[in-house]
Amino acid sequence: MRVKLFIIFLLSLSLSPALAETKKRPVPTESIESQNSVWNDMLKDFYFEDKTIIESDEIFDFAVPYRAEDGAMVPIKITPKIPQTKERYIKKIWIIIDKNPKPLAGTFKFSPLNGKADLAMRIRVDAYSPVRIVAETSDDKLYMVSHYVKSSGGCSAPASSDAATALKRLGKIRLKTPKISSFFEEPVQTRLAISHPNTSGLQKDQVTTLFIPPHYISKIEVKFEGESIFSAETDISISENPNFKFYFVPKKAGTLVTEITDTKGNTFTQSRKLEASTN
Amino acid sequence: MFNTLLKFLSLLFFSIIATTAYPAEPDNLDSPDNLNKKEKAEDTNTINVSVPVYFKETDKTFGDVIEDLLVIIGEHNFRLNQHAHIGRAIAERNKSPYFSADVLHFCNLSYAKELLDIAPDYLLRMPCRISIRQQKNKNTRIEVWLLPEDDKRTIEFAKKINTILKKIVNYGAS
Repeated sequence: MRVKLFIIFLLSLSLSPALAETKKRPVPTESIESQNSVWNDMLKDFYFEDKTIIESDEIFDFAVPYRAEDGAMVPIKITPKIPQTKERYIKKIWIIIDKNPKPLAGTFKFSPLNGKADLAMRIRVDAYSPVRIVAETSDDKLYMVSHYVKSSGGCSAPASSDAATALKRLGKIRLKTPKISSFFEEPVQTRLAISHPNTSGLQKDQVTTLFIPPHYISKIEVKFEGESIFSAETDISISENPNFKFYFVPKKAGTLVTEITDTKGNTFTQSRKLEASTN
Repeated sequence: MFNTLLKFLSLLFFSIIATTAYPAEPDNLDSPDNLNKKEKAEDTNTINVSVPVYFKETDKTFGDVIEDLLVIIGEHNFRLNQHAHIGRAIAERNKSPYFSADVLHFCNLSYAKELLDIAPDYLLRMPCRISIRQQKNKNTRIEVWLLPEDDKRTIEFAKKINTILKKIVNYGAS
């Protein structure tokens, strides 16, 4: 009996470092199959029917934090690996958050006028979920990359600014481009900032505790000299005060016109001349 | 004899389990030697610490600066903990105009852990905060507390975080 006890004790002792090690490491809560179940069972067929999607990062990749600090403002940055040329370019991007109440955050259209199809914004993530980007190239091929994000409550989190301030600034558009000394073939980074609460319909009024009706930007169009350089259809998964970073090639001086439409039928427009800076 | 040995080994085993099952608290890194560059004042309960401040001034409106700061704070994966409308609260209480003055508190728990693991006394500097105030010339001034880059324990971390904090301020002003 004593010998048996002693042997058990020795075995336990040899296992103790392993036990300690498992305490330090995060234990995966979901298997890969389970993580992708919503996509495989519903979303893939719903959005893309029987089209073939190539799971590969050969065309693009994207960065999103594994553990996002604020589910209501998860930064996402898409970096293509091919330039936008007439021969081959990314023409459309889908952003899908599998476990959000409305998984499709938005679709974004690009053309060779962009020079490169980089795109950055902040999105809402409502539950631990894969975030997946699907890109369609000009040869009608679909490519997909997904990353798992640990965050929650993004769609129901209260707005960071109060309703009165948000209403006062509603529809304010700011388009930032760097100073351009001369017009050339290189793509320039453009930031589109729109003041809008983009309420999801899942947020509650902090005083009345009633749900705030959904009110979000549904359509974005940016044109340069009449040609579309950025267009998007967006939904509730885009964070409040949407802010997009994209590129376009300003080959000449001209006017940038931005038109935004929201779900209440409001249309906001802004135009801005783009000229070469002399200083 | 064997019983005594078994008891001793069991005690040793449970001691090992107890010490490895939970992460150990950081060592007391706040010893006088580690309080680099901190001068003890005459009052023994006071430590004088210099805090570097990075600032920018811009002619952008106060509202635009706030909105841009909220965007860039999110882009760097920080969470806004509090938005204190101090100037507005004073104006409302006194029922008279007062200059716009807000403070944004924001944090990233991964960075917080990284810093606390090496210097627990930096807890008092958390979360990160930025002040935004409208000046008499109508310009908006943005200020942020940086981490000291002369504390030998935290030099690398301070450089990394200060770069981010400066980028946040610069974006707010741009």
